[in-house]
Amino acid sequence: MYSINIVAYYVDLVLTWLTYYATFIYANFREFAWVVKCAAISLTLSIALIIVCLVRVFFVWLKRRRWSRVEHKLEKRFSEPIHYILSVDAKPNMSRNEVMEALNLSNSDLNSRTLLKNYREKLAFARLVYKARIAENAVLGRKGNLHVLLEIFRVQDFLEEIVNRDKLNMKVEALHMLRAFKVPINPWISNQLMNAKRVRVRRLTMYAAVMSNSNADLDYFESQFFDENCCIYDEIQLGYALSRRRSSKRKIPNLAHWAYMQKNPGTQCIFVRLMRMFEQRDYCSELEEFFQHNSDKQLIEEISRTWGYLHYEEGENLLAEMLLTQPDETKVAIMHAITRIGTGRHLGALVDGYTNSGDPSVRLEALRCIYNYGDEGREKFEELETKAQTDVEKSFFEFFHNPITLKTIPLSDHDAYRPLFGNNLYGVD
Amino acid sequence: MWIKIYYLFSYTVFFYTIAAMLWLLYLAIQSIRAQNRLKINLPDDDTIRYILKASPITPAVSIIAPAYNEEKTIIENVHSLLQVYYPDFEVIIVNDESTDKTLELLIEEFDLVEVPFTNSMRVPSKPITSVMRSQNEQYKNLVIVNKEHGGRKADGTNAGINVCTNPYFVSTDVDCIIEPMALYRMMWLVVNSHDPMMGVGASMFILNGCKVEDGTVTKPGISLSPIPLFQQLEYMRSFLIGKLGWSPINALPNISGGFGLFNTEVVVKSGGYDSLSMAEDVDMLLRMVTYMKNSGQKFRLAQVPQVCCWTEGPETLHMLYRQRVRWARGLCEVVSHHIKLFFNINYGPTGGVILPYIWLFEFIAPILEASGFVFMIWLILIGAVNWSSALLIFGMIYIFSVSLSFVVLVFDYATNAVKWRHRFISYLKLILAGLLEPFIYHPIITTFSLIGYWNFLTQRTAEWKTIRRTGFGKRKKEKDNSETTEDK
Repeated sequence: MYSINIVAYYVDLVLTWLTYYATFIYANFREFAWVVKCAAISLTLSIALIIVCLVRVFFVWLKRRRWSRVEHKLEKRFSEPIHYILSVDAKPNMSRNEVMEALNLSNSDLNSRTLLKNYREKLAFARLVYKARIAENAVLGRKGNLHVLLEIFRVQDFLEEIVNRDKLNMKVEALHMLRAFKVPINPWISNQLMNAKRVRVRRLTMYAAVMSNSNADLDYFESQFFDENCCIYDEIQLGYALSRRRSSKRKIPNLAHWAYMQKNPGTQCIFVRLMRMFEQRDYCSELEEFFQHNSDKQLIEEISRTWGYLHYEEGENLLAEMLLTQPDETKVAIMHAITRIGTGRHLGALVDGYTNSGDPSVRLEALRCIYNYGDEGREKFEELETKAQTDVEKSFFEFFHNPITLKTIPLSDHDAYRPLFGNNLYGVD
Repeated sequence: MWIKIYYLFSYTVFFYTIAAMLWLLYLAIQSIRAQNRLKINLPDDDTIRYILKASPITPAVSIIAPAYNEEKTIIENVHSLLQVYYPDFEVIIVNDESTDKTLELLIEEFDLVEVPFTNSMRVPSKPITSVMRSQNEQYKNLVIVNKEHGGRKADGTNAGINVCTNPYFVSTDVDCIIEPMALYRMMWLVVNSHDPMMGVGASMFILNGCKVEDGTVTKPGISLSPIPLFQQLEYMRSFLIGKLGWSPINALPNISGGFGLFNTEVVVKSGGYDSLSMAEDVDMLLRMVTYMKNSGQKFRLAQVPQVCCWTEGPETLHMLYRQRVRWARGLCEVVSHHIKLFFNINYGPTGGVILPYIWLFEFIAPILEASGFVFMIWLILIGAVNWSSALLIFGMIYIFSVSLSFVVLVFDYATNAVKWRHRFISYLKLILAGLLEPFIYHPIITTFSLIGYWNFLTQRTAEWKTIRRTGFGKRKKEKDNSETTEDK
């Protein structure tokens, strides 16, 4: 009742001002043309805009000042010990008492309610732990200690409360934190959030829950996986997370089948890459039809790389056949795959790639493959070198005598991923 | 007859002004909405880095920076570009057959040797003569492309695209300083987009007045020189209101040539940059939109509000003249080359809204302003001015322009886009610039734009001249010297 009265008071105040303003304009500009009236209104509105700006700056400044005080206070007291607890220098799986000792806290401090007494302090503390977690994550940190720390200060309960009640941007922030802490979310809250209107909240809940060790919602995540609202990144991230988790507990799903289920060639490519990552050689045969009847160059390259990397010998004949029909752009990946499989049956296909291609860079790559194709390939390479007649052909072989080129001649496993994956292929996440 | 012309012109100018004001107000509101949305979709830097760094599917990015006769600053600039945080990126420096010691310095500093390269010529450029990489493991993501002299940035960027193998590339200038987190911020929007992201723009601010150490801006500041000061405010208005305001409707007037992220495949399929265009960035974006719309593909365009790049602005009036005349000429070229897109809703918001806006409020504005000024003088001479009404209208325009500058500053303060050195003094300088701009800077810019239009109409030979750079390395050394002198 009281709050309604306040709102009514302010509405009344604003309406009074507007009435006064309209009367003022009407009284003072009655004799003037409407153009002048428009100008007068615009002028006063612009001045009002400037005043609003100044008021806004004041409130932002005030809010920041309050926050910075709280943050400074908590940082001064807890930053160093928290970083220590989460770092590799700390003892793994510290007990509750040990963590409290490191933080220089006693049970009475926790019970006295002077510590983290309000919403602002609790949130600032959660942010502090989150930052420390990210900073120490590079060396894998001490996850057990983190969970003890969260339990002592009931950070998870607090974050779940935010997720349940607060504004959208706060919900998102809290979900990011829960995701980073890798704690199992209360199933009731996660189920509720899965049905949230905002796609962003649904996604983050999925991430947060997938990253925790809870198995409760696994089937639900899989159903979400094919949801129309999932963007490519969501699908991949979710697929990656599920696959990774399953690798330790259950069988890794058939990623070739997941690739089939996708409509977008870009997404299909990424699943084929994931197959390579999880070494799913058993499912390579399912890609054969894909390989033969697909016109997407990038997908063909991806499948070739995957077969090569996984030494899928059964696909070698198909690769050699496709080498004859594919354009120059995809030939390189196919030749690399044949070289990696290296059964010794298809040296002729590589030599054809060298002699019949019009693109010098493809010819150069074909030579590189021949060079790497075992002893037989090395002999063929030398034979081709002696037969080189044109300047272009001679220049190819000159490259092989260049000291830096020599380093790049062998096909390294890292090449198989570039530029498809980040440098930290098996990141800590 | 004259009376009719008089009334027609007066009312046209008045309605035009009101329309421009309403439009700018709409953009300001839209940019606040976009910012609020980004608060949810663009988390803090730590979170973005934490997620993208660890993800195995974070796309690789190439930074393409053409260079021509940059011997004074090239080494520091390349070191600066290599300092960007991102799990997988390469820096491609395109040497446009420099006649000074640019290449020699690069070879010496980074231990470069020639390597085989794939000359696929996906987009037209002058022939690439060689590609060099470093033998030093520390600089393994540096690629130097040597090509025949093309004389244009667009040609250099195209050569870089021909060498780049990554799905996304950033087009920048070699003398720009990229914020270390820039790629993360932009790629976050790319990977979180439902539809394929075609391009991402980011805020660029003026480097003059900033403190630069080891190739990174350690303390952002604002120069006391009038031209960089006015330009800083202009950039802030353009990026924080102009471009960000358009992004909610999936349209951008341009992705700055100084710093912008593009989908490599779409750029290649659109034919790459036009080496003959004076506004190659606007032209590129329009051709990309045309290609995507004609092929019936969905796409997204986005703008990052945080400052991601620092560029050196012109210090003297002569350099400003050259820059603005070129921009004005480029605008004429865009208007004439892409006329079929105007008011064409088949090309989405770009054809239906953005291009008409560019035509009406950017292309026509200098002409109308100049003619209004002449008209006003004529009215004063014949004594036909109603001074009280004229002053009121003038006050309205002036106060509105000042209030718009205030909105930008509040926006900057509230979003913490830049942590200015001596924040209070910096804002004070910008407020002063906002108060003086309509009297000093704006008339100069209008004049230069008209000269640019005239050059376009008379087909005067267009010359592409770069701004003379002080170089941030040099500035640092100068500062160091001055500090040493003071110490003595």
